[in-house]
Amino acid sequence: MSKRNPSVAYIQKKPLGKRLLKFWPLYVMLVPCIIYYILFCYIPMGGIVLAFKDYSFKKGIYGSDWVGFRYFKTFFTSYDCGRLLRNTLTVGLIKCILEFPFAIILALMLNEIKSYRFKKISQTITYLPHFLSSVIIITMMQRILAPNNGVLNQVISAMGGDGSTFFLMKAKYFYQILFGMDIWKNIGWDSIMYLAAIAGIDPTLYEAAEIDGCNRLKRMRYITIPGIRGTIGLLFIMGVGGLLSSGFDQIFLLRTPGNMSVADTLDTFVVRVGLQNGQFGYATSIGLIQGIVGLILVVSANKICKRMTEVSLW
Amino acid sequence: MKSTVFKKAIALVAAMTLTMGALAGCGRGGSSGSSASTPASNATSQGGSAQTSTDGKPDTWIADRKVTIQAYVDDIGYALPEDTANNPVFQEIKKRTGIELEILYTPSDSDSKTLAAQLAAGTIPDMIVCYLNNSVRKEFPILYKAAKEGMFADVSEFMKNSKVYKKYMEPGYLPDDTYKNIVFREDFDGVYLMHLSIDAQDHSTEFDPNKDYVGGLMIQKKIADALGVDVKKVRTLDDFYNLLVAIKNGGFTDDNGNPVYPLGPKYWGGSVDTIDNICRPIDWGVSDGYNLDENGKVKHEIETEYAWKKVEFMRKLLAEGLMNPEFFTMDSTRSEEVSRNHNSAIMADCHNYVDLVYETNDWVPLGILNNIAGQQSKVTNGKSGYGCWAISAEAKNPEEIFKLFDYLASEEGQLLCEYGVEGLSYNMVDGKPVLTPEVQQHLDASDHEWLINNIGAGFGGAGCVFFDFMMTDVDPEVRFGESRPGSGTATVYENAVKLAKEYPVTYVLVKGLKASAFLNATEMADVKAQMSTLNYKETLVQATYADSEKEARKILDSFKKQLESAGLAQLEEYVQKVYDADHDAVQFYK
Repeated sequence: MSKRNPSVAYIQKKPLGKRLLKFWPLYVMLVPCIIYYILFCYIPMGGIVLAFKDYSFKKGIYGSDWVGFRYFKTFFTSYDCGRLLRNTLTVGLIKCILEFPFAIILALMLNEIKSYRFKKISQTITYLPHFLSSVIIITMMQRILAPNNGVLNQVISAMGGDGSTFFLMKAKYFYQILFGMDIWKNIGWDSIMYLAAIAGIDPTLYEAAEIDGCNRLKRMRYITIPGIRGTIGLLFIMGVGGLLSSGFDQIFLLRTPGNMSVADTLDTFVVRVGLQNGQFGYATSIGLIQGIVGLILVVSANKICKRMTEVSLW
Repeated sequence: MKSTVFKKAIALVAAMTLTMGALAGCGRGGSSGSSASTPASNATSQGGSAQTSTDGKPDTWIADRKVTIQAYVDDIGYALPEDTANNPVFQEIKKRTGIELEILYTPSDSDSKTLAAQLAAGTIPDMIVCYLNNSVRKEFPILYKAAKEGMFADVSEFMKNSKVYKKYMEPGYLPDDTYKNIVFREDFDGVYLMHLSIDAQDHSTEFDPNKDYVGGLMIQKKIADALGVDVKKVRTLDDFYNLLVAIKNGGFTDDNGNPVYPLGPKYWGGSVDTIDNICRPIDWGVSDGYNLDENGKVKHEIETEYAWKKVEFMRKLLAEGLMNPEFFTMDSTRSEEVSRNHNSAIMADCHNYVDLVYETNDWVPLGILNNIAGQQSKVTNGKSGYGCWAISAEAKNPEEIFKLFDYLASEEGQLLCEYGVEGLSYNMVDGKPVLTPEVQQHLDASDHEWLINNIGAGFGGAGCVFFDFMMTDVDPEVRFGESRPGSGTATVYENAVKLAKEYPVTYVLVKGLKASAFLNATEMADVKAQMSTLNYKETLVQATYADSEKEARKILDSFKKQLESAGLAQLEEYVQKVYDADHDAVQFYK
């Protein structure tokens, strides 16, 4: 597609030994990164075999007896399977698809703010929730949404409505609460990548467009959005991989007996079955299903994206 | 040039630091604990047999070594001395037995999860200790798996020569569940799990106001007096409902002037467990959800109309504003707050040894409501246990560890563990221990930190909980003349005892295990795996908060199907067989 950078071509022509010698400080700096990935990402992948084994405390992962696809069969034939998949997919769709455009919209809006000071203040305010722990956020939500004396119910009551709704105990409000909370927590942080991409757009394009009579909306539509198309594509592909993983902490903390029918997802199930009941093999098999589905989704999204927009991860 | 060399040097140093940092995190966490105990163990074996090592040492001497214990008990973890090396009780144990104790605790949101994770990772030290009321508790499957797979040392031979733990082998000493399902399981090839807190004598059907707790539903005394209610006569579901309605209509307010909720959450935080207290007259599934139907067949409550009756009752309380909407979900901090500021006219659960009750005299027990059999008595199934310990199969000289805990469970050991060191924290008067005025004063002031750090004894749970938790063959009144250290002379619990005397509890003995205990049978493994993810009480709450009756019934039907799919029929058949063979084997009554 694009011409190869001549200096890269020159470097790649040289033998590895010479390159190592010439750029050794850079390679040394790469060592911790490689060690990190080997130790914490690749070696633990070996634990996947647990999905096919009856885990024994004494024999360990590799010494335990094989049980084939027993756990997968148990899961797919269990009563929980349909409900868990449905709940997980719904949460995944909310987080990966529904929430996806909001960070882009925020980045576009921030980009249009003229006052540098106001822009920075707005950015800081929107980033802040990202640094709060889910426990704090959910405790705040519990207080805001509490029946009778919660802020929301008091507002409803002041407007003449019924201020006794226990939002967190009603399954029908669960997704709305999750969506609102997740947006508030992550929108600022997620917009950073888009702001960085916008900053990389050649300013002369805007100047030329302005001379040609484009208003701000048109400049956004014809310069900014196409300019960050690559970033949007990449982040979308990576986000799609998480479709079958709802995230643990938020869901776990938001769960109540009242909303359990929709708040029980694969992630919470894995913890409940794996850690609380000690069924490590069963929990691993469900984790593996999530991983494989995630991989398939990423590869598929990458292909589709490449075909439609020429943007792809590889 | 100079700057390039400098940059390279900086890069190299940074890279090396990061690399070393990454590698440093890869060591085995447990290694330091093991290495710490190894030299001590070697020293013991080098010292030779007990005969040669006891020269100039007390008769209670066991070995010069260190024993590291991992506790999966939050009460223990949050009540450990800051400096065990200079703590009087720890020092005295070292002096008497030669053993230095190190107690570890890993804080987490769930001790049972930590137990599972550490057993799976194989990172347990010499010994573990955890909660275990009975074989139905969530920790048991994990302990069972670990014991079956040889993670723990077999202590059966040590028991035979022990002073206290040999009593476990005597017929009738242990509760049935402890004997059959925990300690002497038929499918174990040895003894691996030691159940703790076993009473020396069975006092389970006797009520002793000096030590027994009076708990359950508690009502504000001033509200009960204002309404002229005899709290002992509130026995049926109608009595209870009428009382709640009377409270609501009474216009009572809390300390902030807001109207009270007739029924509030339990003092320690909202919980689905409180269904048992408020729905006791219609609690058909007395055996952990199971009971016998009119034809004598084992059934789960979900298969009867009682499931709906409970939901219907709780929905009525919610709809009429008789129950705090956050009854089941309120966190512990807020729950304590609404109890302390008298926002709840009735607390769903509390007891007379909570300072809110014994310090204020504002609360009295309500009911208790009748059970399904129409009895106001509490049901007991005899003696029971509370905790469990096991020695790691990897521990050096497990017999020494066993001997230590056998000694601590002896009368002399219990005196040290519960009262501390003679002359420092207590003196013997007429053969019984009496706390020193200073210790008594700190105990009365609930100054737990002082008791833990300056004495280190258990003080019946008010001090270093570990030593209280590790007791077994318990009979404090016979041995020490009082139910817990200082209770004979303490003024602080006077009101708690007074309340217990005014509102005594009667007990009825129903022998046998709860039906769900039979999920531990080998042939029930698959059923147990499926059923372990289902929660009946949560389903009842879910149905209680459903938007309509139709939806609530749908939730119950769905749970019934889940239970059937998990193997309900198999479990019922198994339990029926056991019950038919021996009616005392399963805890059924109605």
